[in-house]
Amino acid sequence: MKEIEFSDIRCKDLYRAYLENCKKVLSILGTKDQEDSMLEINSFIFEFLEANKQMTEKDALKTILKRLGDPSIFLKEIVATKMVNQAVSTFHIKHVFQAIYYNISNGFAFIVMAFLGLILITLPFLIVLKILYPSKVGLWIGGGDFFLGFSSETEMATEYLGSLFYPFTILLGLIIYMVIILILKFVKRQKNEKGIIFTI
Amino acid sequence: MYYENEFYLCNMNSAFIDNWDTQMRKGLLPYYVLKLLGERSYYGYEIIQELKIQFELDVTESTVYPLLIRLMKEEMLFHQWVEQPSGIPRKYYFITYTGKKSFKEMNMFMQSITKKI
Repeated sequence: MKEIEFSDIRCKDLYRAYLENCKKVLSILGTKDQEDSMLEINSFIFEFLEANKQMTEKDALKTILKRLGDPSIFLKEIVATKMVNQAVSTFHIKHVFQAIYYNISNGFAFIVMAFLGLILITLPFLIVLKILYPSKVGLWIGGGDFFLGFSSETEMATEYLGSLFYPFTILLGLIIYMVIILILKFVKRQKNEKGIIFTI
Repeated sequence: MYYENEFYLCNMNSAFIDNWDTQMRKGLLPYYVLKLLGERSYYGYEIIQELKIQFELDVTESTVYPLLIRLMKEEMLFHQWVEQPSGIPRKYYFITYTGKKSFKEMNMFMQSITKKI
């Protein structure tokens, strides 16, 4: 990307610092999406400076950066939208968690997904605990209890899975993962059907 | 005293109407953008200028840019980078068939609202 030239060194520093902030916010996206967004932001700055030659270089730059605003705010929606697309198309666990994180404030569905994600994260730890303490980890039923996990008081409840705990936990993890993907797809479809473009 | 109150109410209403007017215009922003691009292709900064000239709508880059991305995601627009002598390329936006169809529906919706009023 070609940088805009400035005669005032302070303007150049300000411009570079702003682009650096944009880069940081966009760094979560794929290379192509990052480059595209950076080129467009650069173009917005350049065209504004060109069209406002009557202003001083410093004032024009400050005005356009103010109009663009804080990158972490104005790029948030762009990043969130692209993250959901990336998660649904790749199924990659990293992209799924990133999509949930960047959309947590976008409704109940993402809060549910965050909760499911939290359960998903704990499952590998349970498998490790089962290896270390085989008699204390499992599916406990009895004495008013029903839970999958670690129990130090094993007298009241009975453990039902035994060595089947490992395939059961892996299967449960896969099911939760698929449910998250399905909710993501559902949210994406709902957005399209509701014509989310009308909300600004 | 009576006149003072009336002046206050008048000012209050004026602020309310100004706010309502801004909200209305912002709500119509996707419609305006599709209308503009139905005429010809524009690049980002040009869209902002045209919104000001044609619809007296003063919007910032931070509002228009995410909207353009959203309209592209909905497959209503597509873009093309065009190299410039300055070395800083321009991203031109074009309306798609889906965009034209959506604009037609939005137009019909707008007309039905106007009729009802």
